[in-house]
Amino acid sequence: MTIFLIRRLMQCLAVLIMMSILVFAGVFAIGNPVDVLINPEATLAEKERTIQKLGLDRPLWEQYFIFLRNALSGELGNSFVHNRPAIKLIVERLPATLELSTCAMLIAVLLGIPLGIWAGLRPASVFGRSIMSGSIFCFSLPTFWVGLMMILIFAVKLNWLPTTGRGETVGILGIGVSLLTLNGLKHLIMPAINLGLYPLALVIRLTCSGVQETLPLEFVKFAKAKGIKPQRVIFVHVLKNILIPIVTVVGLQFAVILAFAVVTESIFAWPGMGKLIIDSIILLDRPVIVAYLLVTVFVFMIINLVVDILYSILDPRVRLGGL
Amino acid sequence: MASSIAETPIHRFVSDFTESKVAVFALFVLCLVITIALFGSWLSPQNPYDLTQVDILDAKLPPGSEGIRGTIYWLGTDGQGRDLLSAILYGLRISLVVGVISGSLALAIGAVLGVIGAQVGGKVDALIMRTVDLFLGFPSFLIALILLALLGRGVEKVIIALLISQWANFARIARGAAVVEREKEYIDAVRCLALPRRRIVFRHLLPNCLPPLIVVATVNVAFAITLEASLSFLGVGLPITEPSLGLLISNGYEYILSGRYWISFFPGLALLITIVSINLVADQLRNVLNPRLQK
Repeated sequence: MTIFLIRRLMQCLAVLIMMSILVFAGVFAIGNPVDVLINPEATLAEKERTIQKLGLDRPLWEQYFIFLRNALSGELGNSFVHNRPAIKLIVERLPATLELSTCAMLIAVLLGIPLGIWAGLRPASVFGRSIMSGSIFCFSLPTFWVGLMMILIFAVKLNWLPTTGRGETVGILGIGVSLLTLNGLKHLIMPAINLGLYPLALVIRLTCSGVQETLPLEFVKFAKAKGIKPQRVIFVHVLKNILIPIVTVVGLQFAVILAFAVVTESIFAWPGMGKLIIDSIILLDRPVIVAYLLVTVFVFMIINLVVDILYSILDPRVRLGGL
Repeated sequence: MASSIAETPIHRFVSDFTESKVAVFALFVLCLVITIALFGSWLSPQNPYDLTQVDILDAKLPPGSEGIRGTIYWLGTDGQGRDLLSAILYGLRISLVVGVISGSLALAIGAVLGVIGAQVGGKVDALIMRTVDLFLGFPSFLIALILLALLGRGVEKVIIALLISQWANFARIARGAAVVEREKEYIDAVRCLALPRRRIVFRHLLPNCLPPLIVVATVNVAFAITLEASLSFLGVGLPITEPSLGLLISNGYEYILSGRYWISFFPGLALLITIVSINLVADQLRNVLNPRLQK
């Protein structure tokens, strides 16, 4: 397990270095970093000072190490618009995005697995068939349009929920959480469902096909023949075996959701980092774009690592293979 | 004679495909959507981007109302007084063109690179596949978003961004298929004929790797259309002069709160019908082309 972890961490490091070279190449080598990272409205003296600080007057390879050092210490230049360190801006918005994405993923998993099992056990029943056709439908729905229609129905016509924004938050360990207040929950529910629809469809389809593939296998027959209760066979024996692909896909989907949160956050004016990046793109606030890229790459690394560790816990074969 | 026709792969493919009535219906709807998109400029009641035909006094009319020139707006008008039906017909074409072009280019580039990787092997293969891994490590939406943030708006830029964000998927699948096909006897046979390597790859290996790629390509066109619509909705995709369905939906965003649902609803419905029909056709294609499910 330790060797597996070390090997995985080394891989993460390799990808991070690779990404940092790519980002560096994109910003410093291809584009003109003076244009990208320094506010066009800055005075000549200000420009000189930033060029000095970012080391833009040095040779390219030296610049790369200065960039790395700056990135590690969170110095990627100031946002043109907010005039504050870009990394700080992103990190401040990160909890809101993570909260939204986690809730979306929870909806997908907690609803998707039971629905998928149902559809897998009774594929011919009316409910089973409507679950499956519903999931194709969910796949095809454009997220942003569904978001608009949800606002139209639940906020404008029925007036049940607030249209946009994030509600009251309660500070836990210095991070605002909106799950604990009624107002916060009311603001959270629509964006979370909106973001969760796509992974929900995916989890349903995976679980359903997993159940259908696992049911005819010998160990299931054996468990049934031993006289184990049907519920136990399904929820312990079958579920354990189909969890492996589900965990992988849920992990990968979490990264997709974090990216797609950009859309949902823009519609529901959710103050996460997705909304920030869109505002920055439109206002050409490039230091924030570079910082967003680095922070997301880092978050994706962590997600992939967690998925791999979970994978090795769930499937002993992977653990042995890693050794 | 009839039996010999029944034996051809095309015939078998058609009869397998038509087994699902839903898929046939979806194919019919898809053909209809494509026809409408192709001939949209002749079918539409007005040219929504010709300022002489648009009247600002007709702005924000609900569906079915009559304009000041006596024209009836079946789907209502948007904030500038454009007929929504016409705007959708024009937008549908741009959405489909962007989706199909970027999807096919990604298929072509990905398939060629994947098959070359499998055939050449060694360092070339490793280089291609590690690049693929790097691209697949990030959601395509994010790759496209960042590229457009750097490139700016524009039709060709959106196509480039969608292409770069999707080719890796095709390359991986093509390589997987090619590795399996490579070991088969007919490839050994053409090798024995001492055909040039290029000819083996492009005339024999590549065509046989196509079936799984076609399924993925169909799904990917639907995905590319959604992706483009989402990006245009966010204001980083297509320019205002070339409005796709995503941009039309985005135009209706500000009117949602006042209950003027039709400006966003109908373009979204058109998008939904297009994507659902493509996905249903793709689903059936997968069933027909999947060798594991063949009887």
